[in-house]
Amino acid sequence: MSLYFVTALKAEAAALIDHYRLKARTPKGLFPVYESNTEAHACALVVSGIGKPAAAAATAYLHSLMGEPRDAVWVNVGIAGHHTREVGELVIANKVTDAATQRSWYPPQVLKHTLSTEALITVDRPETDYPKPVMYDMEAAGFYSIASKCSSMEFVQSCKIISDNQQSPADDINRDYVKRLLENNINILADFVKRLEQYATEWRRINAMPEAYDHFVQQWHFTVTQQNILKTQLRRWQVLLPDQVCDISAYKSCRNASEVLSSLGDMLDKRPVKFGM
Amino acid sequence: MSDSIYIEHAIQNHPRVLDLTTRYPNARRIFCERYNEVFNPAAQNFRLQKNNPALILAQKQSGFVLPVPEGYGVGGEHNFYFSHMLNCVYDCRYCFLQGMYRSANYVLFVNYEDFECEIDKTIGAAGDAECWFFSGYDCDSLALEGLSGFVTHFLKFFAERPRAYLELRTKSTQINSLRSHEALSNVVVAYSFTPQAISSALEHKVPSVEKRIAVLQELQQLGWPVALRFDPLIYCENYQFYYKELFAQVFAVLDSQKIHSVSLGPFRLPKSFYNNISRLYPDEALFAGPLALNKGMVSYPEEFEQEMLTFCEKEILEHVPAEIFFPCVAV
Ligand code: SF4
Repeated sequence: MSLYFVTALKAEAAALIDHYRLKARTPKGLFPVYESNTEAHACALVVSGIGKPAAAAATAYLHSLMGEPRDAVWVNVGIAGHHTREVGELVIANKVTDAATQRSWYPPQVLKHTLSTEALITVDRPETDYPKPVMYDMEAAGFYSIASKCSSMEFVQSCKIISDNQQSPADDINRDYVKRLLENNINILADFVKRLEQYATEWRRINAMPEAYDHFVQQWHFTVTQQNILKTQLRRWQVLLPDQVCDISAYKSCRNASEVLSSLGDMLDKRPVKFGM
Repeated sequence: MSDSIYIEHAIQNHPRVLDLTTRYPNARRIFCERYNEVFNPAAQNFRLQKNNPALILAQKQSGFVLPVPEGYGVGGEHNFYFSHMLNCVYDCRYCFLQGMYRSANYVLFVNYEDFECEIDKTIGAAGDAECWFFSGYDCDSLALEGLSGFVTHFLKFFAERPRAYLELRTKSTQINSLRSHEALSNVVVAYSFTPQAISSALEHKVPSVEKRIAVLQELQQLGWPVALRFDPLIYCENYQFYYKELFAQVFAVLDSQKIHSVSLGPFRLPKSFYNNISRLYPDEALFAGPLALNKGMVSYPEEFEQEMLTFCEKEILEHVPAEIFFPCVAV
């Protein structure tokens, strides 16, 4: 499973680095990246710096650095201002708007959860008047402009912790304060992320390549179209013959990929489709 | 009920929007300019969204009443469809909506009066000819009645237009709106069926065949014209046994003389819809079966399709007269 975080500040990243036991990636590249990589779970975090262009660039950088993974979970974590919400509250963005272009993204809320959600406006300069009853930050729209192309939107979320409001202005924010805000919310945040990952894992399982696929493509040359047909046929096999392993040796007399495909297809066409019987 | 309601800015004070948001005060409200900002973006996963679909309240701007695809209809001269909703609470694996839309969220168009206006224009343009209006093309006509009040609203409208016919296409057993209205001879309630074994495997969240038959019987007794849609026909081992059993079950209970129409529809999906759906459900038995591509449509191979149609037609005609039988209504 692949999980990627984008934060603006090192102070926002600290609790995540700790929680997910991430190590600084060396040598250093364009942006600081922290990662942990086991066979089952790849997790990485990039610190973008402040502002929309930096967030977009860092997201793209992490995506290419990690080998352009598909169906990964992407989470933008950071602080945001709001005119009335209590400082320290974790809020999931249900709409992200770029104030400069008025473009909006609507992260689908497929998880049933009890966390607060709110619209988020990404501004180019710090917003201290909070003119609308929404959250304000400086990165989420930059993150979305790229992350929404990297994965299905259900897996791309922005989680903000309220750092300032009318009573508690942004001037008081410092490094330790931001670190504490994140530390105080890390368990709730990790729980939300874990549930997103479960969805992504399930989706990957459904889409996993049938085991026999590699054996076939090593043995015969399949064109790209034939590779797609092979995938379809092997998936049919899994559904129609769930208890039977697809043994490549049964096709050893086939001279080329098209003979393999017609042999597989003919055999599967003869298998009865059963519904609940 | 959905835990998120998206609302187009322009209709936030529309009476139906105010009513719905008052009835569901705990749902999060998210404002958008146009519904398609939420509904249409490419990188969405219909299957994942089906776990927790949101409701989108929108205003339809154009295309209120459209001519039906060729072959769709039950004998009327002019046939149209209209969709007050996109998407459905049920989750039938063969449903073309999964292949047509990227999002599983429910879109409810609240400007019913604009639909009515266009229906009136269509009736006017047809002169003395009969016009049929099919609802339930992009959704189930009854399943979200509690939320939409669609049937309650449109029964009043069609009651005053006896020359126009409305077909409500459904699998829902929520018929309170019909129970509480005097039966109308120009409103046909059409139920879709596949045999229970197939329904259990493919029609997720849909009421059982038995419950649907019971409701049909009640509607017939209340005087509503009822219709049967065996659509789509699904191929499987022993399909003859299952369909024969289904026909026997239905016709044992309904008064065949009072059935408005019976139709059969083969399983067909445009290739692009089929590709989208089979990508979403690679583990689905329906798509593991023998399917063929013919003129841009994915369907059962012709010999299978013909065999099924012939078998079902023969069985159905044992129960109902040929005049009310429509063998091949397009999906
Ligand atoms: S009831 Fe009809 S509209 Fe609803 S999912 Fe099933 S086929 Fe689709």
